[in-house]
Amino acid sequence: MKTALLSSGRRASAVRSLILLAVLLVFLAAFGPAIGRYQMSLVTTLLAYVAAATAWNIIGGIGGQFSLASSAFIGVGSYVTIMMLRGTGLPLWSCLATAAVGGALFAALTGVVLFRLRGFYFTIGTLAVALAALTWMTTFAFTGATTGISAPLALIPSGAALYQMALVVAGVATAVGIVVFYSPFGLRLMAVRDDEDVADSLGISPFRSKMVAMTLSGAFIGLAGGVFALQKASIEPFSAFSLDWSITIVVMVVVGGIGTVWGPTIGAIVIYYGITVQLQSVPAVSSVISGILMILVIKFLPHGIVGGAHNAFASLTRRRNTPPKPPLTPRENELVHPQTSGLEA
Amino acid sequence: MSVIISGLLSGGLYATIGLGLALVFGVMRLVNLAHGEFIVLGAYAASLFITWLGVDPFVSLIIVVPLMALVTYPLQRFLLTGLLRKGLESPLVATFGLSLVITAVLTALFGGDARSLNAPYASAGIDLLGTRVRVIDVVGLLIGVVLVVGTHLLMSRSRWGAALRAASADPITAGTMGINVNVVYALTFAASAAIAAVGGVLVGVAYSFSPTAGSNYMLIGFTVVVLGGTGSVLGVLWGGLALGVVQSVGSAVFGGQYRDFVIYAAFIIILALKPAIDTARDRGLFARKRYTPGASAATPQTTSTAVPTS
Amino acid sequence: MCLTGCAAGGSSDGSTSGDVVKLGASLPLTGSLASFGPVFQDGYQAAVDEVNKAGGVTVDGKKEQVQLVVLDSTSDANTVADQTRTLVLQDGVAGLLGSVSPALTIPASNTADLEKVPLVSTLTPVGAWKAGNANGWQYAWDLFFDEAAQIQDLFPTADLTPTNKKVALFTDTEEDGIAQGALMEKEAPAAGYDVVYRAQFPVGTTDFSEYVNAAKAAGADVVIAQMIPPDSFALWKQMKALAFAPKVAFCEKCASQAAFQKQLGPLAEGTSTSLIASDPSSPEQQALTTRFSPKYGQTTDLNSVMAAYSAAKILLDAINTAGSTDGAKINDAISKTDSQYPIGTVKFDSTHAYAVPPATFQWQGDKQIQISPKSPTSGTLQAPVSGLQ
Repeated sequence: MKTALLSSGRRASAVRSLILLAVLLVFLAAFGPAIGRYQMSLVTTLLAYVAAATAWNIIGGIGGQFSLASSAFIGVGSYVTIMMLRGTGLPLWSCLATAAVGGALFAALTGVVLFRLRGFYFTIGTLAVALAALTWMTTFAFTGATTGISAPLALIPSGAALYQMALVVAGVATAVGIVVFYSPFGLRLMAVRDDEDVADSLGISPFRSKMVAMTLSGAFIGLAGGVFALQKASIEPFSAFSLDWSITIVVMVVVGGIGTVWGPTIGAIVIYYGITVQLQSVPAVSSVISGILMILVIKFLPHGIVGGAHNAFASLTRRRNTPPKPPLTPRENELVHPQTSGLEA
Repeated sequence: MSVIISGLLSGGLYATIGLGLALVFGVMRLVNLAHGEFIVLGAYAASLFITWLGVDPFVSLIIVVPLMALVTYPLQRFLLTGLLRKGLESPLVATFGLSLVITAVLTALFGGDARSLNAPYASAGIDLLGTRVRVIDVVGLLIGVVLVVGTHLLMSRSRWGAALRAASADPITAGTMGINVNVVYALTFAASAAIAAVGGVLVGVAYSFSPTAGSNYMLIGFTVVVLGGTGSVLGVLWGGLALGVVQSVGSAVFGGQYRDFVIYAAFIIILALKPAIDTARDRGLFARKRYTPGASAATPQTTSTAVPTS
Repeated sequence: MCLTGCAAGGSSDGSTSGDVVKLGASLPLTGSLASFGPVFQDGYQAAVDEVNKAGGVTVDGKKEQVQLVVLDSTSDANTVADQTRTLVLQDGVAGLLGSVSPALTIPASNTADLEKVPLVSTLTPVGAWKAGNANGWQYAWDLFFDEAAQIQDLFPTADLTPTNKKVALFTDTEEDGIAQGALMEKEAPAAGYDVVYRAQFPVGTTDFSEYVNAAKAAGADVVIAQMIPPDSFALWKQMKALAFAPKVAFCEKCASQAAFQKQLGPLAEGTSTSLIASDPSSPEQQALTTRFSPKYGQTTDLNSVMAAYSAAKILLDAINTAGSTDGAKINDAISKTDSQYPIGTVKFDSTHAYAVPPATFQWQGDKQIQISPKSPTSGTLQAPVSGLQ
């Protein structure tokens, strides 16, 4: 395998990205308290979105498995966090950690059932998982059915404490995203994405690679769910398991740049901070703009804002010594699938 | 018995909803996430003409069906066909963006209130095999059967159908043979939207609709398509009827609150078993004649599950 | 990009800038509960306008105008949580006004308690709302009937006409559907009724034919449905089509909207619903009736306006009494509320609720006639339900 040859250059890129991440985190930690409680609560939500989008990108972008099950992982993380907090009185951090475990387990379960399917079938399978989880929760008496559950308000952390937690969650998720992207595992995952059969013939187990990616992704989406739940204090199925989570996360990653390191972060900032927050008094306009933005991005910037910026930068400096960053390798003959299409009349 | 009858009757509507999705997926492997919104759009368009012209909901289809086809044709021609070349998720994202826009525009124009289309037969009933049923459900079943069988005949017997199958099976060869693949694709998409409009009027008369109701119908449509075996037109009818029956039997057995859960669970189980079923089918256990001319000798291991991986 | 709520400028720490006192509400202007949002907005705005006309509220000894900031929650609970937080932290509202139904009011109540800003809500059944916080609400207050009280009004209304006392329940799986359905099953025998069939179904159900046929087979004369308006349109059409003609039909939460009659037309005739009565002796009730009758006709939307007006007025009066925009002081003033409002003489109990007496209304033509309790505008129950015959 060629991974050993590539690894020194990739390691340098990974280190650069990690340093950038560390600088960002230190900056946010230092200036957080100065921005006021409103901005702080917005940034807390934003950071949870960054974590979720980055985590989705591991399976959806790097692994190419277009999952719509994120809402179930958010929901599981939310419920686990609030139920642990309420039922056990364990410290907040351990409650969040169990949310990660819950998200990972549920993701692994989803993977076991659905990873024998490819492409569109996997996608609608995950959609069905998301909806099955939602409908199940509306009748599950143990979690309060549609009424949901709430944590004692006294145990809910202050805005500042929650901000720090979100910062750690987003930081760890992004670091893991970076490491996966540049690691040999990431390369195997991309090989699986680009051609599962070829990857298989090279000795890479598509199933195992996808399972690891899905589980990692589920863990951090669950963690993000825990942060969202702590911000709300009380949760019920329709909001905690709302399909909107899955959709928002996909929109963020696509707009930012699917399969890129910083795309999910940029996408989360643009969609949440740039559109949702600014236009929250006119939700209809905000969703029209999100919709049009998605169409335009996919039409003109298939690798999102990050890919577009990278191309612009590359053509500006005319340097060709760096490999193109958008990792989606160009695929030939995409329109022609003579073997697979065909209509049974 | 009455449970099964009511299941079969809702199956007609489900087949109508699934047919448009199956058509675009079968012909060009396009997953249209805006299909539910097309249904709702059709219902709203019909409600406008009903108010303006004072016509019956189904008469309004004379205007609504061509209108929907006309509006959606350029979408495929100038946006989606280009994206198909980039793989599965590009059109997925674009049609999803489209669904957001349609929902928001409908909300802005009509408000978020649920509406329904009124007609005398909307609340009429008849006795069928000893069970009281709704006239509109029977109408829905008939429409579903007519649309599915009509589409099937059109595809298998007409020149247009031949061009369509050729463009679907091997776009490049079809292109060299003088078939304008881009036009065929756009026409298929427009036809699918037109069928969605018929579904929209059915939904509007039988039930109710609101700008945000689309995703619900899209999901029903996908369930039908998968149950019926993707790519098969007649399968859509079986899929629709099967879904209707599973739904009503499921809620009779487990209680109405589990009605949706039963569907999703059944759906996941069928999906999970799909690779095994397909393998069995390819080995001749369920041998069926499939129209897949390209799949002759080149890549025999590719089954219908192996959607273009992307 | 800054369309509303930016008047306060950069100040984002809850300190109002002195000229204006803000009240905030995250209302379902679109989405599944869209028929309620605008009605609430009218009621809230009417109260604010009236106070402003009289010079505003007194804060720290000087009169200040009041501004109502409304955001559209799209009937989504997540959005309510986000928007109420924005209203408090960004707009610096002195108080929050609630939304309809427990699903939307509980997230707003959480924000109130977490941020220590008072919230007054209505049209949210008290039992389900209290269940949203096991430790008891601190800054949130609710004006509506208790589910049990509603049921105690419901069966006597059904008693007004002879029936076989057999009840079919149609309840969805939302909080109030589950809670009220269970309560009705429990309370029916004491009232002399027998629940012979109960259908439970998820929100968004469109095909009710099996349930209707089962209820018909069980021979029920009384139908009690608790569901969201869009689903109820489908159920009513199907009852008619399947020739299930009950003698009395209640549609809770669904028929209390003018939209019910607008969408169903003649099918709505004779369907009853519970909401709160208004207090005809209140001068504001008279004024509001005169003002909003042209818009809402004689429907329970008018009562919803009264309820929303009362909620806003209680909050505004409390700000006046407190003479401050300090959350704790306003909250204290709300707890001491004891005066007449259009929905009655409000006095909160120790659980932060004021149980408004329920009233039953029946669709007769395009009007909703109050059946119970008796009032100058009340009429008699028409049976059987003629729209479904």
